[in-house]
Amino acid sequence: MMQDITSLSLCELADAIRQGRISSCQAVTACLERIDAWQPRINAFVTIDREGALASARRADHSLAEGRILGPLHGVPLAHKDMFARAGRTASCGSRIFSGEVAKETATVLERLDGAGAVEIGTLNMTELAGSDTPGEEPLGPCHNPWNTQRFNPGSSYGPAAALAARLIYGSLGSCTGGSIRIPAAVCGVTGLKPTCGRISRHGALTRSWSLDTIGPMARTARDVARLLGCICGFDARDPASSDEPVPDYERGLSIRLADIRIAVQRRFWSVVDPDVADALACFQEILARQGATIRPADLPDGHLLWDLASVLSDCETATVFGRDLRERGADITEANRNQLQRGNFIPAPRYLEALALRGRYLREFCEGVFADADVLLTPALPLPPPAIEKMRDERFADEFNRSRVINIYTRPFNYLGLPALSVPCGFTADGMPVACQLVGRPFDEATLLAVAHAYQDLTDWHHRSPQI
Amino acid sequence: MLKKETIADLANELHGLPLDDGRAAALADHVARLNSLVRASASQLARGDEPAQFARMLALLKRPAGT
Repeated sequence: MMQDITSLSLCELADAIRQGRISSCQAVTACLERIDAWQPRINAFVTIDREGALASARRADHSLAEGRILGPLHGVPLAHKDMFARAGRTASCGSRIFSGEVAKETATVLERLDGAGAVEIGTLNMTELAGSDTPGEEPLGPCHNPWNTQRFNPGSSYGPAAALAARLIYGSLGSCTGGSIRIPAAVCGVTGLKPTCGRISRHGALTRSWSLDTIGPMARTARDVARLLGCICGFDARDPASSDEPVPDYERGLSIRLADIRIAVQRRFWSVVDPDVADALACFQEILARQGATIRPADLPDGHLLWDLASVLSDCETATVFGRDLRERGADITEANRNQLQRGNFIPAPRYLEALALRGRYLREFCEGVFADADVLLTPALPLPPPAIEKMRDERFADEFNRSRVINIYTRPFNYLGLPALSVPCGFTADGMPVACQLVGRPFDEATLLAVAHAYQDLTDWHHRSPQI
Repeated sequence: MLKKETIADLANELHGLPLDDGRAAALADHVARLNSLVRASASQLARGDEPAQFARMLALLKRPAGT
């Protein structure tokens, strides 16, 4: 019975709790049992708050018994990347430099999830300061992909993706500066959204690059992501970059006719693409086309230029954010990350200002070129399956792999452009690793991305598959 | 182009953290590429307050109502 509970999606569980078919305590207990089984293998959690989660679940069950529903996430167990402030608690941010720093207030997104009735079951692993992962240099220990623990597990939100794939939680928040939601979601076979810049408040979250950082929901299905997004987005005066664009009802917006949707596909990829990934992408198009969607080839601007411009912003802002820590706490930062964090010191100010100034122009050109006759753009999320960890430990291989940019060539350009982008599971490689595509939309059009993904997930079962222990 | 020795020296001077040859060389390659990026013309550049201008551009380019 308990294992069956963890196979439900977030929305299915929320409905079951609301209808009294499953209690929040049962759901939390089932998650804790599964965490006990998986945690030694994948190290997805940084902290597990058993007593706190069960106490919250009991309160949720008590409220329901009195006829009070706390919100759309009433009693649902969640856990998030360990980089969101909660008053009275320390967020490690994957680093040793924040140890002992107790937050005085709570991140806006956590406050909103609390208000929606969610139960927080612990905090999740992440790479050091949300940077790139270098196997063997993770201060919190490596987080492994539950589909194959011997494969490199890229993306700084790897804890959320691994925990969702192993069915340890029902939803999570990650963060993304260049692909850190979509990439781990892709390799773990879950659904992850990087929203439009300004859509979700970053107040109380770790800052890495204020121009590019976004917070985003991750879950098993597009419907689950829609529910989480609806709970957390909207204007927040405490984040100066927060947008006051109206927030639609994302779940209601999931019902669309695919015949009304036009999908642009890249005429030429930005990188080499693995044949299994290319096949999965072609199948994705075919399934949607059979339902009436229009598929149109599109010529995209140079993704490598957009990648470079994003890198200028990211490198300079990261060097600024962590400059003092590098000087005063350098010994507490791993050597690989120190190298990343100081790159911006060698980029002249005019290059940084130029990358900022060109952003609006490139955004306009991109939208006018791609979205003039398309509603969404389809690309791979990750063009190749991740290599073996052993290979990444070879410095020469890792250097070449990182220089090739394959890890984030399809994600980082959209951080520069600020556009919403969704990673959707769409198959498996011959050796059993999940494959995902990416849907990119106009600014603030998360609703169409989620609707297309939802329609696709209604017709397929990739997102239902889970790894066996 | 910044030489790897210069990168390593600057890293050491800024943070007291020497870089080994391999990492200094990779860093030199990375920043050399970024420093050789496009040079925008004056007419292409915004006139200050770029983050706010970018936010306005995002709002302008959203899906038109009713489509």
